[in-house]
Amino acid sequence: MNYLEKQLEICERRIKRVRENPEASGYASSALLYELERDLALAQMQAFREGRPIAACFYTSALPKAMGFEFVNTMMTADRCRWPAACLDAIREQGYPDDACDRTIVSVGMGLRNDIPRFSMILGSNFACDAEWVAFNALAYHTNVPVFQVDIPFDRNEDTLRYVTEQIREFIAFAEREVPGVHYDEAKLIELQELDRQALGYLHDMYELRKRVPCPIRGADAFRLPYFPSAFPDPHKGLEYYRLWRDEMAERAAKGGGAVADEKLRILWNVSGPYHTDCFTMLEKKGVAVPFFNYGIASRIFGALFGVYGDEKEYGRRLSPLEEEARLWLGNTWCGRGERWIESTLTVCRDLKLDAIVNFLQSGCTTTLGLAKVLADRAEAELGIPTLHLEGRQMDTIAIDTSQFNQKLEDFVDVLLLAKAG
Amino acid sequence: MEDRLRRLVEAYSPQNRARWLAEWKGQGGKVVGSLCSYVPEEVIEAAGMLSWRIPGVWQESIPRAKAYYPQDSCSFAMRVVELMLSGDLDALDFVVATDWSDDTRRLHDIWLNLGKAPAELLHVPHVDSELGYQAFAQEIARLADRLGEVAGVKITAEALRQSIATHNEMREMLGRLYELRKRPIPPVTGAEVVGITTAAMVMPKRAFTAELAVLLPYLAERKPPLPAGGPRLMVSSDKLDDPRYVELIEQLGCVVAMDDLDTGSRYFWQAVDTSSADPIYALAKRYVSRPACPRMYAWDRQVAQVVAWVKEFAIDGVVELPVMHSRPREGRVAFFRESLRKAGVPIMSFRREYHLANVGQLKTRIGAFVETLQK
Repeated sequence: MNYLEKQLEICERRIKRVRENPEASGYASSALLYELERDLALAQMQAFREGRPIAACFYTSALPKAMGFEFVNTMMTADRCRWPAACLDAIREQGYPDDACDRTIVSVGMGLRNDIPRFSMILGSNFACDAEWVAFNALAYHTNVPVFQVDIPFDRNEDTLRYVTEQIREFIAFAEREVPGVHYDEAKLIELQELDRQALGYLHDMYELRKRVPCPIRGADAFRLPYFPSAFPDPHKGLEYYRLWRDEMAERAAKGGGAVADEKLRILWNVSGPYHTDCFTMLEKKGVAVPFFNYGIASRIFGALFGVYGDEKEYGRRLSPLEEEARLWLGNTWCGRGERWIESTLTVCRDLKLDAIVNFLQSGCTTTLGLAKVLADRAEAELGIPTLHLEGRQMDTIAIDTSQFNQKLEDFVDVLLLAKAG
Repeated sequence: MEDRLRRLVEAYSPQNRARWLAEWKGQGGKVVGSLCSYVPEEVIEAAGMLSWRIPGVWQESIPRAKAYYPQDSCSFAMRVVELMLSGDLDALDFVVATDWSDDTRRLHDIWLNLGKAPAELLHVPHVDSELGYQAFAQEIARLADRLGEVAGVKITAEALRQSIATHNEMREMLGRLYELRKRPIPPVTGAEVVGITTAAMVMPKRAFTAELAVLLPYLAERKPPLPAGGPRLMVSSDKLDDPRYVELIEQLGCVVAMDDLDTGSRYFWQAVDTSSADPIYALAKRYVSRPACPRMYAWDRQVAQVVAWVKEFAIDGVVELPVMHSRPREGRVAFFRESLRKAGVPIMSFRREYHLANVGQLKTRIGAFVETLQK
């Protein structure tokens, strides 16, 4: 429960800060976002106290909510953990390597330490990578809860869509059997998918806005990854946040100014970020905008490559609600051939007219590390843009020297600026 | 016969393994490099090509690979990339990879980027289920089409059945070899067994099976090369293809009487069902349901298999050697350890490099474990 109690405290503090000074925080709509996160933490806490079913899941929220689960995304929860060092100590004691992907091993550490409520069950998959499904298995073992893992292949066609959809049906049957009180409600799923679809429409609008020069968003804001509306206790309020966020961004873009004074460079941030350090202030001071943070599912949910709910072009037909879930689960560019990830990165660079890529070499990110050179070579050959490979950790502040990290980034930017100045 | 045995044991060694590839090419044949034990070799042979397992370099220094991977990456994958970049694989006509792990999946992408022979990436289901068999059957059918194009033939069901029969025969021979390991003092060392099973991965199957068929009667009568009285161990790892690892363990006063290796037992255990009307489905079912690697979701079944082997081969203890930064097994470490302990099986786990390294540390740690097992 430590995490939820801390999350409540942080959200309340942020709500107060944003309401007192909306401009300083970037977006006035952020207050609503923190309210939503607070509401989510409260709902999770309440579900635990009342003994209601709680599902730990990977990316999906509409399906577990449509089954009557309260929803916890363990990876996004780990992202928000304020004591990663203690979680890493916990996993080391069990003999796990501490150089695997931070968010996955911190999620296991949180489970070992009872920082999060004990789930009723876990829904896992290889949606993004090995580290995730392995973490789900480990979490299930250490917390002694049933786990259902979905196998996600990497081609997108009718056969694979059917394969994943059938597994979703198996999951539903499994959950209804193992967890008292849960039942799949298709009408509810359709309702939640529609709200998520609209939110993704707003994300697509924001992607279009980011194409503007200068860019209307700040670098740190590129890392804003809210839950889908279906995750929140009041999904309509969740959708409202997305609309307000889009409107604020559009208003800024309409005024013609950028979030960065005197924008000189636009860079893509790839893979993950150093949550423990602020390198974006330095970038802004140098006139560097970061219009996009690209990760596995980003190009899909922002509409750069294919749509999600409701799109009929991808399969040439309308999909059923469970097929829509399967489409989302098949949509992570980190799963499968490297071409998917590379193509998504290059597409975003073209769309947003980016000058360079910062490829964050997150320790243990097995799905992207082996592609780093391939990606850089392709970016150079096809777009003429350079890539900085920057070794880092999301949360472990001991393994990586922050000042060296920031210095490498700064040196890269300085070289780019010199080159641009001619 | 000892010389003949030694030649077979050393068939996969760095100085010898390329010979099989060169001989096959010299006869006008084509060779398909395989990166994983989940690649259905039967399909390759049914296309008239040689299936040849791609190793990593057995060395510490990997200067070329470091351009592709940071240091804390899978030790096996980095060394395969080093070999890819050395040019030693340029004779291959095609490469088949799987998503055994994210790192091995990326080997496919790196290979393609080098612009050498074409390649295919198979998705191996993580679930052992009817849905999984059907999904893998589709993958195998796709591979068959691709390999047929490379070979310039259409792979018929009959060709597949014949290839399955050949591979089942190989499996049966290896099964007989492993039966010898059940003796109180086996007539073959664990190191020799690794040499023999890896030989199967680079030699033409019929030639390998014929050679083993000649050696088995000799082995059945052979004087045990290891002294009596030491504990019987099982080695559990992945991508362990250097017999010197097992030799190092056996020099500590024990015998490695069984293994849980994708280069050993998991490679051949469980035949393909020849009664099935659909050979592709039969292949899919065999490969997905065979004793599983840690990359499969059901860790409890993997433990159950190991416990069954412990009993079947009268094993005193398990030495687990996870390859450094190979995440599926690393993530399973706590589960595996505690589950085996609950089953009453002593176990130790020590992360290793893919190539033989850190010999002093290995000897110390494993030696201490062996001492605890000594009766």
